[in-house]
Amino acid sequence: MRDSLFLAWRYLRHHRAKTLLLVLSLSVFLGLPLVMRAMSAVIQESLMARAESTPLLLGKKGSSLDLVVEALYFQPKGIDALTTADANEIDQTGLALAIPMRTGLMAQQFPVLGTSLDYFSFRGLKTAEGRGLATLGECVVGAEVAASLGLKPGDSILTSPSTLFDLAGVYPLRLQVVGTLEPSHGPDDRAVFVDVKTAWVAEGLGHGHQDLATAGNDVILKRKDGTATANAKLVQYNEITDENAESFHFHGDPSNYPVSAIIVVPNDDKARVLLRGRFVNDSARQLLRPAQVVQGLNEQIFRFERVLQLIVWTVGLATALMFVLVMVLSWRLRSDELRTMTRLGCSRWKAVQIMGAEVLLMVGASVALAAFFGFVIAQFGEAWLQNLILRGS
Amino acid sequence: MIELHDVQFEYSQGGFSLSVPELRISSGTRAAAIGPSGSGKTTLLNLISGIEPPEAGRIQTAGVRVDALSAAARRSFRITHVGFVFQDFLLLDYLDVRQNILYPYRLHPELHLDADARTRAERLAANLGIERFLARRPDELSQGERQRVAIARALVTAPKLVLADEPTGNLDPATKQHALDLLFEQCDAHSMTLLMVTHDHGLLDRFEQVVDVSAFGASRS
Amino acid sequence: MASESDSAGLVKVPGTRTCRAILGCLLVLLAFGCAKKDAQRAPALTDEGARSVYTVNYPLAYFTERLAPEGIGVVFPAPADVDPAFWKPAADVIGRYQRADLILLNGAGYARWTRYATLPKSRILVTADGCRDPFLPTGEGVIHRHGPGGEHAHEGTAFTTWLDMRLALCQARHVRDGLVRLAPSSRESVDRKLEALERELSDLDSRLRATVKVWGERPMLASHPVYQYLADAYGFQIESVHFEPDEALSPEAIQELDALLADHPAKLMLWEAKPLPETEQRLHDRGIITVLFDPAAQPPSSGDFLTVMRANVERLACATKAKPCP
Repeated sequence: MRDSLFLAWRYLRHHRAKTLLLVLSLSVFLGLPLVMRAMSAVIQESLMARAESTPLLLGKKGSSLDLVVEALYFQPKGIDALTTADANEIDQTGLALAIPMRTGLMAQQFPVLGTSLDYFSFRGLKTAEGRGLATLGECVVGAEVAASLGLKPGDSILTSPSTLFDLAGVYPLRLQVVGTLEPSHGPDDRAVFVDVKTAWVAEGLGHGHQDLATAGNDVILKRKDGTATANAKLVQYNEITDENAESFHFHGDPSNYPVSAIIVVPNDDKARVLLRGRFVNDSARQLLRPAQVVQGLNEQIFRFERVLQLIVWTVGLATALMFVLVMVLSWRLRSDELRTMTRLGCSRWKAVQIMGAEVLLMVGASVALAAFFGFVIAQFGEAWLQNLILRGS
Repeated sequence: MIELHDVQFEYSQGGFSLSVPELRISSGTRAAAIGPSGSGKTTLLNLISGIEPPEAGRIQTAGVRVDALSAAARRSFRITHVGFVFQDFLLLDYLDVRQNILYPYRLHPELHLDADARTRAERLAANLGIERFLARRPDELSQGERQRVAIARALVTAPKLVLADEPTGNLDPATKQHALDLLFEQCDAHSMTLLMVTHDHGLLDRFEQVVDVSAFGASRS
Repeated sequence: MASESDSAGLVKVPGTRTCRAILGCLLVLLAFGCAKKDAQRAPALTDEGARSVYTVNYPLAYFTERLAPEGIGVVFPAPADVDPAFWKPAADVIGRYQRADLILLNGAGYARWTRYATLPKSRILVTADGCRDPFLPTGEGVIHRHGPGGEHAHEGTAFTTWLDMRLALCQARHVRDGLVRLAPSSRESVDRKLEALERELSDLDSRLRATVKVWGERPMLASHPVYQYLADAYGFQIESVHFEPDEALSPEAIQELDALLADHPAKLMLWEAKPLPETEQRLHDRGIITVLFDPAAQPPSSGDFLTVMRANVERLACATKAKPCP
């Protein structure tokens, strides 16, 4: 057998392009269905785990899937916003804890989540380095964000501008990184966390600027009757520091400030039932169980996966047949070699052994490659695939 | 060394038959087989080496009744007693020269690829002047160099009989002579019997015995 | 510190018998005060029990200490030399607030740092919320506009709500609610303590009303705009300046004062801390009596919130002649 493997290995190595092509095709045929099944199961589990860990979610009436996807997995779906008043309303019932979430902002390619401290204890997020949020303008980054951007406490990160060409658009806000989180193996690893007030500042609802009462005349357009009108020279701060934090303020009624969604954590089952009853006829808002919504998505994924499996198996069968054809044709072309082997005294069984060794090596390499790809995808592909599903949902 | 007596052979699919009433080639003889195309020269080599069994008659090669052996036994006999040199060399492009020479050892469990075999291969390569090509592949060599590799492969198992089927047919005259010199030299050095099929009558004076295959009974249908 | 009787314009020379009586009373009071210490001691401002309540000012810490059951520690970590309304705690202090079981905010914009700090909403209780709507403006600040948003004012909100004893009581009730949420089994004892506190605050409220009945709408001045709720609740007509007690009045300040007196001829000025003698003299020259009215945002060096407020009310009553001065 060793000689057969030796000859097979030498042949395959000499014809590496053909060998590689065959091995790749086989590995795809062998690996893809298994990887798909494994990934599908993992994704469904991880999606479901995330959804099940969130008891209730309050959002504006509309697509429940979009609401869940944006609030739980931070995929921007353009959902309509609630207001802080809605969160206060939940709090005032005394039946649940309301955790506001403001999504839609990005910092480089990572979603920014404006929320409250309760979010961290709710999700069991622990600090790896540094500390938690303390003041406006600070952020805490998930493990993947920290690793990907090389961030640590003391660094800073810019929010992405809302518009590139709109001169009246909101400019980036520099966030101070005060902490990084331990990996949680979920969407939180890929998020940048800020206080919800910081999110409002970043989207232009709050701002800080020079004190007009004491500002020089170069920034004042006119003063009259206790009213000062500033000109464009007025410096508006794009970073919140210890020195200027007090200058940051919001205008209007804070209860009208936007909140993308609210995680509602009922005190007990009775409270949950009571709360759901309150919103069942609400025409403007929906209070839903994320697990129920994700279950629907999972069913779709499962159905899609079955169709895909069928296609993959069909293509795989064709690939296998092509492989066999290539091998047969290859040996036909090597008839001289076979004849020489026979003349030199090689038995038919030995010849079969040598041919079989080539197949064995290629199949072995395909299996190994499929296993390797499966491992890589399992390690790194889950998040990518999850994003793909959620973006397309 | 080689004795044929009343041998009858016909290919199973028909088309050609050969009849050899009598043929003797002594051990250590340098013999040539001649005859026009289709006269049965290659068939004669196949019968002597046991590649094809006769329908009738007796074939004794290197003291072994080849006609009485089973297919497996004939293969075993062939790998241990006979060395082949082919007209087209039939070297394997995916093996280097060293591995091509040692190829027979890969094909049969009776042959053991041990240190002796490797030493023998290197010595043959040195004797044939191809030792510096051992790590190269056949497609990197000239025709003459490839022929010498084929010769080395034929001799590496120390066979008693070397069958060469027009081994110099594709070589230019100078290379042909040189290849033959080497082949004869090696056969003589190891007391091997050589039976070589050739169309080149100019070489016949270098052989001790000439077998005219056309004198045997061959027919085509 | 000059004697309060000087600033009230009254001079008393006690006789020996009277002195002994006063001494005796003082001794009795001292004994009584010691006995009551367990119930009315100044808040243990660095105690942290099994559960902790953090406050943003001393009045709330006092109320909490008065009402809290066993096992709940009260913490008011602002340094003594800082006005808690403008204190900027460091991140680690904010972290301690975050870990508290209950965070009592004053409301009405008090403690600016809470505007930009990240605090757990579920554990925050804004004690003045619902006690008054709307809160009073400071009457300061510049209305301005910048950008397309139109005019808006960065005018402040007055935040010394506890100077209105009814608001203080409302805040105390909210403190009670927070404590009962933390320790439901202690509801009865907390309610009993609240009743006692309510009586004391109501007493202060009555005395202030009695004072304003005598004083009427005569103008008053205040060294800083911190008495809005006192003025609004009891009808005092107070105009404020920005005079520091430990700084001499500058010529501009005197000009400002005189200009103000032209329209608002006050004869009484409230100060959060005792002003310099020369300041008092300048005011006295203008016929203005200085009255120490400590807002008690920070713990006093002796006594507690109620003793400070009682002393405030006494001084005011004395200065307004609502009652005889001691």
